[in-house]
Amino acid sequence: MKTPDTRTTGESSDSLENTIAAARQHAPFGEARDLGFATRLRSRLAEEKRGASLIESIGAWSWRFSFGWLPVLIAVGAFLLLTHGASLPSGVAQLVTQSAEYLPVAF
Amino acid sequence: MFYLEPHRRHPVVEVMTSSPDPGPVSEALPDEAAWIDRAQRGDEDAFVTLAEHYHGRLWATASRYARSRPELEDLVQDLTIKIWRGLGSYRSDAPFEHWLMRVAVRGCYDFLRKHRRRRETEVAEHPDRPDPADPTDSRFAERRDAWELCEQLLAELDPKDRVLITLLDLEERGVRETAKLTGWSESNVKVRAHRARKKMRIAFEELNLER
Repeated sequence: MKTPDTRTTGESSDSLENTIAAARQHAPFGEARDLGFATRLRSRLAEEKRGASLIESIGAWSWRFSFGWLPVLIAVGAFLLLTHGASLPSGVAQLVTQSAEYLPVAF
Repeated sequence: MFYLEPHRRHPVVEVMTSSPDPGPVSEALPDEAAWIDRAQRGDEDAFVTLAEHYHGRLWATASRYARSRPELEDLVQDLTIKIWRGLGSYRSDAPFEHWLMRVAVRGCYDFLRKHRRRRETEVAEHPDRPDPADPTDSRFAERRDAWELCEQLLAELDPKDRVLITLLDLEERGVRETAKLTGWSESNVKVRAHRARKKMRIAFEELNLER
């Protein structure tokens, strides 16, 4: 690679400017010649579509599951309320006291 | 334009004289709006037609960032897919090519950030760079050498600076246009470009001293 031997900043700036001017006119990989471009693109688009439809179906199914699980969640909540209803705190102060019992430090 | 010495061309003058439009518009596809509309509604054939029309522009832009032909082909494909994904955000009040180039430049920046570590450790080899039709074409060889030297200098810069120098100095775009393409502010572009040129000049001098 030939570059002029320039030791002073001014000359080097000029030389760098010339280098960039020459580089500007160079197309590193020539003209666009990608013969399989459209075929590859179509296959990538098909992948995208599959990916998108998978996400859509997961989204749709998650909603269906959420509605399906709703009665189960209500039943679990009702069961817990019935079995532990007597021991539930009646006020904020009792709630704090009861929660503090679960802490690893004693007050 | 490459203005290393501030007294040659003041940045303010550069901003004033730079075109407010984001770059030259290539020949539009006949009935482009209809193709875009169809592509936005999910028509893959319409999108492929658009992509083929702009393939040359994407190729020219991406070729400044890729290091090998397969890498360039992959990058162009990735940029095209980004365009497909973002097609819904395109509004027809601006030329399609301007929007497309913004997506492409930002995609190239993402590509540089993603591949930076690998690029730093790679040795610059270009086995698949085109050879001149005539091996004695000294002008071609000179330009290719200049590009390879330039690429070495650009490799010293961080991805953001590399994108800026490529747009400003290699593609000769104005500050305003570069700011539009990258989404960075004009003052940020100017400050970063100034620092990047300084870094390049130092690297260039070091390379010259090594020779």
